[in-house]
Amino acid sequence: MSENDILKDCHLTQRFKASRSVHDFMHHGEPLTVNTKAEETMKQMINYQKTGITMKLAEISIASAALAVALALTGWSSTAAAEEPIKVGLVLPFKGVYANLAENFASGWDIALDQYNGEIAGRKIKVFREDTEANPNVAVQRATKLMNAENVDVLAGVVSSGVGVALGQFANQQKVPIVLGMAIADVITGKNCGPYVIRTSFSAHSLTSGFGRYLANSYKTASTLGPDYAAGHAMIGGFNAGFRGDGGEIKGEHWSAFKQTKDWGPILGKIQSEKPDAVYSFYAGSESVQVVKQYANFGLKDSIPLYGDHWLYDESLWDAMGDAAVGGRFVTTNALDVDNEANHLFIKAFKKKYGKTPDINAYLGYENALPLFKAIEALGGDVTDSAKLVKTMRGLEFDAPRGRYTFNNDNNAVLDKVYVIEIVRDGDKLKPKLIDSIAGGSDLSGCNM
Amino acid sequence: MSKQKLIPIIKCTSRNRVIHLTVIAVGLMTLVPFVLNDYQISLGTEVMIFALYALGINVLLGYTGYVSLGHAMFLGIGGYGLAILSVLWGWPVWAAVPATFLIGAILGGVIGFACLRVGKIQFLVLTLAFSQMLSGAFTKLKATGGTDGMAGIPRPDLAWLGVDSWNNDIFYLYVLTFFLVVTFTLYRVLHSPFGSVLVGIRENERRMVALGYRTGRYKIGAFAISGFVATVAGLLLAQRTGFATPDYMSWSYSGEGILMVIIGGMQSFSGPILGAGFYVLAKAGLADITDEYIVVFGLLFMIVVAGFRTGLSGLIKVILTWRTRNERT
Amino acid sequence: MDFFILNILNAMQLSMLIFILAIGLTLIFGLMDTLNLAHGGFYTIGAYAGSQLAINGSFWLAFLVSPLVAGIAGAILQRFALQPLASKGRSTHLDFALFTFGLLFVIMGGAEIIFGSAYLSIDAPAILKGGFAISGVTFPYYRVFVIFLGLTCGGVLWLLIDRTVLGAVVRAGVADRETVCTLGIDINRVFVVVFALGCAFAGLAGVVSAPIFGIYSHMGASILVVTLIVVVVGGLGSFKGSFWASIIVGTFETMAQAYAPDVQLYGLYILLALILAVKPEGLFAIQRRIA
Repeated sequence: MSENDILKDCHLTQRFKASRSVHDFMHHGEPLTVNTKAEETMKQMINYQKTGITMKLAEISIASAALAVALALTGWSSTAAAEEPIKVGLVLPFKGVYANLAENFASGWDIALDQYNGEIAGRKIKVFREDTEANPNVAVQRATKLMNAENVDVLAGVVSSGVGVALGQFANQQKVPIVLGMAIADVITGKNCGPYVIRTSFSAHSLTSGFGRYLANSYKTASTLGPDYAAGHAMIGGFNAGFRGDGGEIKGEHWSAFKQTKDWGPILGKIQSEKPDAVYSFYAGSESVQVVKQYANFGLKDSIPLYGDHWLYDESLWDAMGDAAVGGRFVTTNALDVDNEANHLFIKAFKKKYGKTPDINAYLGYENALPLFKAIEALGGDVTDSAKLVKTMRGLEFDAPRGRYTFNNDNNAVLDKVYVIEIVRDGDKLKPKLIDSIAGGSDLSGCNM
Repeated sequence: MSKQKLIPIIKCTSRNRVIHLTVIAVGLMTLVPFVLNDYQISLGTEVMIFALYALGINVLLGYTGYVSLGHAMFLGIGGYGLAILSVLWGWPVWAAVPATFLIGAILGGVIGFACLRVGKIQFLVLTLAFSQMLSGAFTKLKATGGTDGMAGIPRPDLAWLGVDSWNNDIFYLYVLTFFLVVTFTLYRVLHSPFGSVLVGIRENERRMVALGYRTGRYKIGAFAISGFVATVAGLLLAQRTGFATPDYMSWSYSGEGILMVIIGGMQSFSGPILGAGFYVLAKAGLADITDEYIVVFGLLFMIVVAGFRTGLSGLIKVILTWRTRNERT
Repeated sequence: MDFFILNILNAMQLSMLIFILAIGLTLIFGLMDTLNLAHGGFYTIGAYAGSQLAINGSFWLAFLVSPLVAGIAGAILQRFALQPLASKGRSTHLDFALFTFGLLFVIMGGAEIIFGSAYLSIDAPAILKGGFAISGVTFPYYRVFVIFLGLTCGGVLWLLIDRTVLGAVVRAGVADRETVCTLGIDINRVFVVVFALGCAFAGLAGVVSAPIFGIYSHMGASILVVTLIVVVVGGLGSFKGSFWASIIVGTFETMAQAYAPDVQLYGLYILLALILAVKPEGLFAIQRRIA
């Protein structure tokens, strides 16, 4: 055979193959396999038609899918309303530096929910959790979301004082009640008080001034150490007022750059040179770990005792602090050894649900929910009048794990008693030991309600 | 040869498409207060505010090629400027607002001047340092309430229009007005010869100098504009919540701003707007699904930088020009 | 006087800790022109890895192995992420800086997911417990250890750079990368090794700082700022610069805390601005070829 013949042969075979495969492709969806120029163009044209249509469909479906997702994400959902539940917006800093405080706080809240079986006066309690990121701007935005998208009846929680100040004003403006569970800044129920804001924890002054007076009985002089920002000044200021009030002398006030300092060496050296009888300090989170550990590393722990509160000596940090925390004494509002029925019941329920004992944050969470639920109960489940809800709460008086629980006229929880705890070593674990209970201090004035 | 029938209607060029879309988008945005619920309106307000912030950052990042890790300081200036002028010094709102904008622009220019000689990486750290400095200063300042910040930031008195600016809807429209005016102005500025010079500086500053441009002046100008736009965003943010805290100047806000610009696409004008919208909405939406938004955004960030440089705006462009692209073959 | 000496010691300790971090960043930047913003992330990885290894009380195990963990993580990042990016043409400063910035967030978020929000710690080893008395306090032996470690790291690195073949390659690569390639050296392999080394230093810093600073998910972000300042003040890519800048920064911070506490919050940044105003490239910037 000559070359031409072979070529002709191939050509014919190819064309035959080509038409067969095109036929199969168009009518049976078989993939086109043979490659010829005609094939290419035909493939393109056919695909083109298909892609033209598919592209249009794709555009439309992408656009509508995106829109649908966006709308769905922004809460355009309607909650089916059967028996209307009581809606509570629990705002806590679930992410960030205070995350572990928030988690423990929420666990205390859950115990209260369990206690009421999740409903009051026949209405279910629905809790919406939102993350404040300990950022006032984010918190206000989340609170707005809770109010508008979920129509919550009341807000609760709040760890950080900054957020507390912001949401307090938000609450008074929007006329939605907020039950603050930590946020210890004095101004919240002082200068910024209002009929829609009520705090179940305590004010910084009332916690630390009582402790200040107590320590003035044992020590003539003291130095203080704290972070240079509003809450730090509030806590230390309260201590100073109490300590001085009972005749003590504050040798020096030392302030560290908030969230910036990591090495307390120089400050500790300064404190030592003042030779106080004791040191009082307030810190939270990672700074607490650093201060307590470095205090011990520099050998100050045994010569000058370091006193603080339940955030400096936060129980969840004891593991990280290790030996440095042993012997540390601090003031707190709740303790495992407090002997009353409410406390025993709470500890029992907490142990059963979580397999461990509650820390101060869990206590505060529980005592945040409890008055709220009691007030709703007293109102028979009717939460439509916000101011009335707050007023009812204020009028409550009952037994709580912390002792006798009441509010004052500034809508702030009164600290009847506070407790002094010492950290002791029990085997390879650290445990709290109640060594004293003393009177709580009073709030600073400033509320004109 | 297949003949293609020419259909003589409006040519589906990309430019016309963009104009169509912009008109539609603005129209939709104006309809928002009348159609959506309060929460969605407030989200919309937040999207616009952060869109302005991201646009400001992009003037430096996308157009001039400088990463500023401290842009949050302008958010703070916007908020505190208004707070100090109106609350502490008693200025009326209609005077305090423009004054604050001016301060922001001037501060931007000053910082630009200070950063003229440093390289891009030094600039990154220096802007971070400035924002930390400012944040520290306001934390310590008792007069501005320290970390508690200042409350009582006023909104404009719109009684002469017969509306109350504390109303969600009205505030949305107020912010929308600012957004449209600033965005349009910025668009014109960046698409003028000035903007081209900035791009030139980004690509090769020495060449621009060789061409005879006083790049220093252009850089200061870019800074001032960038600062101005971000200050507007900061002021609106403060008016939205009613208070200003040093938190606004934290570097996490700076990081979030960069995130928005990158995800949206920093090589385009509309990128920051899309990025801001995406960030705000996704964060709000994600909160319901997962707590771990940091990881998600970090991953997204990495993916965009590594794979999809043009970000969301690039994605949109691809979708838009799909048809026209295929038709060209 | 004693008080002053105490503060000098404190300053040295802080400086050396910062130095160990800074050399990693400088190493990577000097050779590869990459600003590894995820440096804080490798610091975190080293610390957390150390916490797991030290669970049975063995500090030295953590001390030796955690830098390896961080180094390997760095090698993986370079080999499988950064290098492909560079070869795809995405190799500007900006891209790498941003990419690693995103990675930093991923690592911090990841640490939170894996380990939760709890604070962890590593105990100082038994032989380093206690300290010597000075100015009424006990200066911990552990901090002395940190000072020596920092100086040792500096010394080892200097030897490495100055006296070994690898060091020669690194120096050559910093000066002119292309020529090194033409000499037949696989520059990519060298990059992987150098990047891993840089991250290993970060991991080492993480382990070593844990007994003093504790371990938490966002620890990477908080030291990144200081490290960046040091690297910029010293001059990007200059080891000598990193050393002296670490000392300047550490001493400044310590002295401010001891003698002028009001300045603490922003003093360092003013210092940075002043130094850059006078020497925009940093104190010991290396002259690089421009064209």
